[in-house]
Amino acid sequence: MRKLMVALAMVILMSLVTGCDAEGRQFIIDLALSWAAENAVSIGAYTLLGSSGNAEVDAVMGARDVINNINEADRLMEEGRQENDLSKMEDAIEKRPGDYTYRVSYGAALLKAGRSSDAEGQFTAAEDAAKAYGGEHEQLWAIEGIDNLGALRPEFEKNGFVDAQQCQAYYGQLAHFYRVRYSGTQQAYFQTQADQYESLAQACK
Amino acid sequence: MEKTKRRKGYWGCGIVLLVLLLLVGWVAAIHWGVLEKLGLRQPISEQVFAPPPDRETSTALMGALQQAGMNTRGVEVYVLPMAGQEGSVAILTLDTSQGFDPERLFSDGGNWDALEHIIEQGGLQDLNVTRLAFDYVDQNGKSIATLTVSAEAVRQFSQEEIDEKEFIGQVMGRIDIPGLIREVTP
Repeated sequence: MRKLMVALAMVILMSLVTGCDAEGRQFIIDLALSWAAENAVSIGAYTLLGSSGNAEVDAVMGARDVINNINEADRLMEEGRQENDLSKMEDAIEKRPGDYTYRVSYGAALLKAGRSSDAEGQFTAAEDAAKAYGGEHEQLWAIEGIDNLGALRPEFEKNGFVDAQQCQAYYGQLAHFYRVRYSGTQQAYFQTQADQYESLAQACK
Repeated sequence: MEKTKRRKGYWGCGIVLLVLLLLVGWVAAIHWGVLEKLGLRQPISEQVFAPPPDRETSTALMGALQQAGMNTRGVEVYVLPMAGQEGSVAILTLDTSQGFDPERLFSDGGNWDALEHIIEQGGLQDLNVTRLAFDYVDQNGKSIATLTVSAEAVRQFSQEEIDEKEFIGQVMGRIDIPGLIREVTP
């Protein structure tokens, strides 16, 4: 545990600075300088070329801007949902174009507004991004889609669809999300759901 | 004859000066991110951290810190998956301008089990976190240090597989040394 504390303390050395005694302050400055000496080549390369040679490290150096963007985009997306304001959702996507969760939410809002082909465009763009990232992202995209479209169901059941295109887009997309879930998990439930929504999409008039 | 030599000398000086100017311009452009600001290049951070943040893991890590007795005022944890590769970066932001108090980092009586499991017993691997980063922000909202190290190096150091010097060698990032000196000077 002591080692862990030392590791944490070294990496977050900055957190110890305020209020230290003179010896402690000098220790921190010395530690920072010895760190700088140890990594002089990569620090120099980063300063001159804008790259340390390690993409992950370079990305972390700019992560503060990414976090600010995420916070701002989250705020816009939440306001867009609350106020039913599609332009705020668009602004959120502009800030974080690769975030497929925003595109899925925006797609659902477009579908609700009767803009079915625009909605399908957003779902497809989101799927392309998720596929490109690899790993679990395609499954996460499908889960997000099922959640967002599921939330629209009570309203469609109560008021019906504006037209056949909206009905087909809604059920067709849900069937697709469930198919993706099935292909990732092989759980029969997802296949059943996909088949059921496919039938509903074909029955749209 | 002498005029030609002098003219050649001017050309030589001019070329050297031009190269120097271009070099200075290039360093300045990189330093202030001119290409990114002009929209000519997407920042590497936006490319790598394009996927949505992993909010579930952020909550789990924040919970472990709170359980350990950490005062989390001004502290934020973001877990950012990386595009096109396995793993995420967990970024801990310690922001004094938002109330983070370095003098009261941990309170007594915290339960370190969860944090210990995460750091030492492969918990980071289970959470798919492959890199840790720390960003310290001063009272004026300015980042003084951004440090990052692989989760594997933290595990190795905590289990004494590597020594302190090797560990420091693996910590990468940026420290604003003048800013640090200002911060530690009462």
